[in-house]
Formats: sequence, structure tokens, C-alpha cells
Amino acid sequence: MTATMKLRLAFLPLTDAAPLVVARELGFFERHGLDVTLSRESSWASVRDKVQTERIDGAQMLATMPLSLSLGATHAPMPLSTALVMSLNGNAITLSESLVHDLRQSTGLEPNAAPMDIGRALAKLVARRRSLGKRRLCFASVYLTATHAYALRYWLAACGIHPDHDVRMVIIPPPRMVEALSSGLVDGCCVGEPWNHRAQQEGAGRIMLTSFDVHHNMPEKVLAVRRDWLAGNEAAHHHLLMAMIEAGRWVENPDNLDDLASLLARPEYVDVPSEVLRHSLAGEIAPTLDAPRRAVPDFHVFSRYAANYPWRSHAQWFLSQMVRWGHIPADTDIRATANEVYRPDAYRRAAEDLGVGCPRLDCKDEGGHGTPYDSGGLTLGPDRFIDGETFEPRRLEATIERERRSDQALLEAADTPPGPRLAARSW
Amino acid sequence: MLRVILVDHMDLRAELLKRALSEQGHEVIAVLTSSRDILERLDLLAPDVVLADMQSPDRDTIEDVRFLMHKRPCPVVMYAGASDRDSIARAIDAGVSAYVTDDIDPGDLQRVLDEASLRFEQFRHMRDELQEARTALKNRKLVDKAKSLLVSRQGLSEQDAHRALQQLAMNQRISISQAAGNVIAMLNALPEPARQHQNG
Repeated sequence: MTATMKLRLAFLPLTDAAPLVVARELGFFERHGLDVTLSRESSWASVRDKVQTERIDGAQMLATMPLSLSLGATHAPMPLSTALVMSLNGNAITLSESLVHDLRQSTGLEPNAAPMDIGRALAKLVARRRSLGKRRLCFASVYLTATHAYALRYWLAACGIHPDHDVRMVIIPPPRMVEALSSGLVDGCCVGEPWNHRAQQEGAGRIMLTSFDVHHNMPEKVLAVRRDWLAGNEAAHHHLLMAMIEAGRWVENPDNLDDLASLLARPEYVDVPSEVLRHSLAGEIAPTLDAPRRAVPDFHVFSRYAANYPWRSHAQWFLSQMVRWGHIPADTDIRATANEVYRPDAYRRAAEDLGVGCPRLDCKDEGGHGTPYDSGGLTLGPDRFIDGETFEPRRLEATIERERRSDQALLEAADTPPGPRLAARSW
Repeated sequence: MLRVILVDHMDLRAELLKRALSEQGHEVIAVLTSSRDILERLDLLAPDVVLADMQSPDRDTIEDVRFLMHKRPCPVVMYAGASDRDSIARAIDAGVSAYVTDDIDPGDLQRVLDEASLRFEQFRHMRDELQEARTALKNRKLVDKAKSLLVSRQGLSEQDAHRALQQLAMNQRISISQAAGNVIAMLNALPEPARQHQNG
């Protein structure tokens, strides 16, 4: 390759920014003729502003963001596309020390309880607090339409807790999460790494379950680009995809773990000690005093299971959850939006050029596999939901209706509390 | 006079801004320095403008609080390092948030506050208009559907169906689209007998 193509991309200091950092530092971009400037941002709002004002061409984003930004869920619509998933999973739900203590005291929750049992114990505690007139528990995620928010909401609702009525949902930026837990501002959170391990290390909270437990192998971060930029830069985009697919393979190779952790630890990237980063990169979750370290080998997935492929069914699932919680209008054309924003066609061309195997279908059913499975010669990852439900793109409308009814039932159940209501105090 | 909230962890910068704003005749009603402040006080204080550092991670919290308080929105004006000066114009054009450079010129600030409020109003106006257009379309679809049900199931002519809906709306003092909704619900609740009656 002769000509060099210049590109401006942004990232947030999180463990799963790894493929971007590696693609730049280890020369994958350079090898594909790309001269990439990486800017580190401190909020998703800032990433959005820089895309909007054309200061950058693309960025690491939450897998939900190109969808909600293209639709203009909170701001003026901004057309984006993504043809590459950077990572699957990678978030955890951490509860504050004092909430964990309350759960053990009042519901007899065991240290090794299964994720659904933790949720059911929490539902009991929520009902008891309501009958005692205590304030609602407060849960944080990192952005209104974040993957974290939908994982947290899915788990709460599956366990009988309505996220907008039985508890309070707020947004706290990841670097402020540990303090929010220890000061009692929030009782629990869903956040990416390294912040869960940080919270646990500082005694502010405990990792109770992972986003993998909520739904196996959901996309977490994507590489999104402006649609107007893409229209004039298809060749650069094609090479960008190839470089990122190669970087993902490097990141996932266990032989590179030490190099990866020390690269990410650098002040210009995530800027935390490499030991903290290692835990989640190695899939070792929750090394607490009274619970054994749990192996979640798929905690971060950067390449296997055709992870980088942007399934339109995943986009549809995210959009269905945005409708479910009133973040976008109920009459949003989910299929058309998924087709516009998620671009498996562009991914397929890049994968073919690299000789990497790649799915031929745009959509797949979710929820039927508890273990890896073969699909047309490719190994795809498990895709179970925590409540055993399924998501079939063909039955999209029926799924939305089923969830609407069960959420409505939660609201009605809350109107008739089980015990007699004591003197109501707000705090 | 604008009622302004500053979100800033840096005392000195907040103090400078506060002074510049009061010289312009604005009132800084609070300086928020923590996530707790933003969550618990921002919407209660009902500011006209929120000024925040563009580089602050708290921006995602501020935006969420703004989304929740959509009934009483306010423009958010970011201030940034001088290197970002050329992005200001484009940011303002985007109509989302405005940016002010770090070396605060009181005159600039005034213009930016005016500009931000104006742009915000325009954006809100545009969003309201879009919402109105959507509602109008939805209502028209409802009326059309009710009319076609009345035609097919009750054997009315289209003109009579329209008159029936108007009459119902007038009698019950509801809008014609609400009347259409009621008719659709009722006809769907007792589908077949009506058809048999018509056929027989």
C-alpha cells in the first residue's frame, strides 16, 4: 500500500478499548495504510459532541449508541454506522457492601448464590423496604441508553423488580462509581472494567454477577463511524475493519496477556495498575474473602465466536429494550433502523479479504444455546438469557408485547404491597 | 437575567466564572461539585443554563438528569480549552450544546449564553413541531381506521361514518380521534355478530 489515509478516532479509558489501543501501538493500523489519531475522552457525551461537530470520524462506542444517536433519542438525530463489534460482555453488577450486608441479614442470602437467587432476594428486600416506608434503593449505570443500563434493567425485571418504579435508576460516570458506592449515593451499579474490581479492592462493593450471566455474549463496544464520513471513505473504512479484526485476534491470545495489561495500564490509556486490569482480562471474577474466585472465561470476548460480526438481531434486541423502557418511541421501525446502522455487509467484505470465516446470515435467534455451537462451520458462542427466555427476530412484535405485559404486571403488583404499610417516611 | 448553575470541581475557575456572570447581571444559584449534588439538586433548582467543563466525566450524569426533566429543560453550555475554539461555531450550529473557551471574556460569555438559549429554543421548537406532526398523523390514521370499520361492519357510507364520529365526539365532548379510538375498541370487542347482522 502506498497512500496513507488519515483517520481520527476516540476512546474512553476502559479495559475493552484494548483492540483500538493495540491496533495503534502494535502497528496493525499502519500495516493497513492508516494513520490514526486516537483521542481519549472522559464522557460518552463528549464522544457524541466530537462526532457531531466532525472533530472525529468515528469512535469506540457502546453497542447501543450508534442506534440511539442515529434515532436522536436524547438529541438531534446523528446518522452513524457500525460494521465491527469490538468486544462482547465485560460488565458486572456490583452491590455496595451495606446492601450485601442487608441482603444476608434479612433474606439469608448465601455468599455463592446464583444470579437469579440474588435478584429474588433483592426483590424481597425491595418489598420489605417499601412496606417499612424506607427510601427506594438506587442503581447506577453509565449512560441512559447504555448496554449496562439494559443488562441491569433486564436482570431487575426478570427478578420481579420494576427498574423505574421499585428502585431509582441514575447515571454515574465510571471513574466516580467507586466513591458513589462507598458514600452510599448508590446501592448498586452496572459498570465496565476496571471499575468493578476497583470497587471490590477498595471495600466499596462486591461483584455479584456479570453481564455474561444476564445474557451470554451480547455485544458491548462497537467501532462506529459517521455515515457521511463513510460515504466518502469506503476504502479507508475497509482497511480499518481489517486492522481491527487482526487486533482483536492479538488481544484474545492468552500468550499476550502480560503485554496487553501493561500496555493498557499506561497513563495515556486506562491509567490503572496492570494487576487490576489482569483480573477481568484473564476472566477471574470476584476474588472476595468469603467467596472463591469465580472463573468466567468469556468475561471479555474480543475475537472468538465470530465476535466482531455486527448481528442485526443484536441491534434489534437493543432497540426492543429502548422501546420497552420508553427511551425511544414505541412506533420506531426497529428492523429498518437495525439495517441502516448495523452493517454486516461491510464486515463480510473485510473478513473475506483477510480470509477470516464469517456468518452469512444477518440475524440469529438468541437464547437457545447454553454452550458454544456450530453454525455453517463457524463456532458461535452461547446466547442464553438469565431467565431462559428467547429472542427471535421473526417474532419481534410478540416479544415486545410479552415484555410489556410482564412489566405492567410488576407495576400492578407494587400497587398492593404484601404487608400493612407502616408510617410512610421518604428517607 | 439568567439563573445559572456551574458544575465544576475547580474552585478557582468556578469563582472566576461566577464573577464574570454576576458582572453581566446573571445569578449563579449554585456551584455543584459532586455526583450527589447533580443528582439531588440540579432539577430542583430549575436553572435556565447549566455551565459545565467539556472535559468533565459528570457530563453523562448532567445529560441524564436533563433527559428526565424534559418538561423543564435548560441549555447546557460547556466551556473548553482554547484549542477547541474552532469547534465552537460548529457546535452551536449543531444546536445541541454551545462551547465557551477557557479564557473567559465577559462579552463572549454573554453572547454565548444568548446564543445557547436561542439555539436551545430553536431545537426545542423543532422537536415540538416534529412531535405535533407525528401526533396529527397518528390521529388521522385512527379516524380513517374507525371509518373503514364502520363502513365494513355496519354498512355505513363513508360520509355517514364520518358524521357518526363527529356526532359521537360532540356528544361526549371528546376529540374526534378519541371518538375514533372508542369506536375501534368497541367494534373489535364484538366483531362477528355485527357482520352476521349485516349479511343476514
